[in-house]
Amino acid sequence: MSRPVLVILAALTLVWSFAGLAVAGESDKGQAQVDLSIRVIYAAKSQSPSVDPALADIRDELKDLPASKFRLLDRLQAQVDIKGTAELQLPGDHAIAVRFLGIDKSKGKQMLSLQLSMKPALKISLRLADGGRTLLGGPKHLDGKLVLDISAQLKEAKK
Amino acid sequence: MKEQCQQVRLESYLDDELGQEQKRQVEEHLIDCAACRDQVQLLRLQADVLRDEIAQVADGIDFAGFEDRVLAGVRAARPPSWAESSVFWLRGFLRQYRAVWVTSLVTAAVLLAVLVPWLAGAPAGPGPDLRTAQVDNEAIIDAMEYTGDRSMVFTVSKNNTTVIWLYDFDQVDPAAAEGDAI
Repeated sequence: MSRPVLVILAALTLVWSFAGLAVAGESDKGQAQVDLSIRVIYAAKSQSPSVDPALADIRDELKDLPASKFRLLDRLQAQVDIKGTAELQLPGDHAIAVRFLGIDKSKGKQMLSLQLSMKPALKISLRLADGGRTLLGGPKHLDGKLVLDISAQLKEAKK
Repeated sequence: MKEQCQQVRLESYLDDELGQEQKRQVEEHLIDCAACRDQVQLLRLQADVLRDEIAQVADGIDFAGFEDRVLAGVRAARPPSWAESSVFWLRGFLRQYRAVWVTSLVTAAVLLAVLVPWLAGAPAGPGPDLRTAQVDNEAIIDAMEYTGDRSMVFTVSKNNTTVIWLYDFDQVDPAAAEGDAI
């Protein structure tokens, strides 16, 4: 067998190997699930600042918001597949929907593509760090506002 | 020595390698040429000395069983087994195509080091430890459709948490928002 033929065979073997790796990576994405958590928080200005103990993990975030009293009203935890949606009804005839679009690795780390919808006025497409959270403050409630604490954690589905 | 002496093949004459006619010509020449006769004498003397020396050395060698020893050595050199043949072939192949397989291995190692982490999505360096106080809450907003007029996006706390604040969410006209097909 001539030398050029051997070099071509070696190159083809390498290409085939990496194509297999790429296919394996793609197939893994189909099995991904996300643990979504949506917490509905009542935020209002008060002369007596207080933070619900159930919200102690985000105390640092809450103290930077334009409110001083925070109470946890409701919570939803759901596992969704890619293209799956979790919805939660809010006080005052509103609803929040969070759709899991997929996994993005273009930033050198795993980020979760999500779409947040709150009818009739809002739709946001964002990428959130795996295990991270974002806060959405919007609908009026009583003397304050509702703040939604949305977090997502990637979970590999059992095959 | 005369010019015609150079044409006389004295060594061949002494080794009896000449034909009858050539041998007669040499002998006729030797009758008239003293120099060639002296040369022949010298050559015969050298041959005798060499013969005696070889004979002396040969007398010191035991040739008994010589033939048997040679044949035994030939039988010991048996044909190589399948494994030995394979090893021999592989050594030859690696030696002959060294440039090809060394280049391929180096290329494969470089590609593996670069592509495997990229495909696996591994971070370039140590990622954040989410179990400690420092949490990675990085968020990148790719698109935002909001029918209200007042909104703000900012980050808070050391965890880099993104906050989307809609100031006039409840003042958005639902009928007007319907037309935006959110």
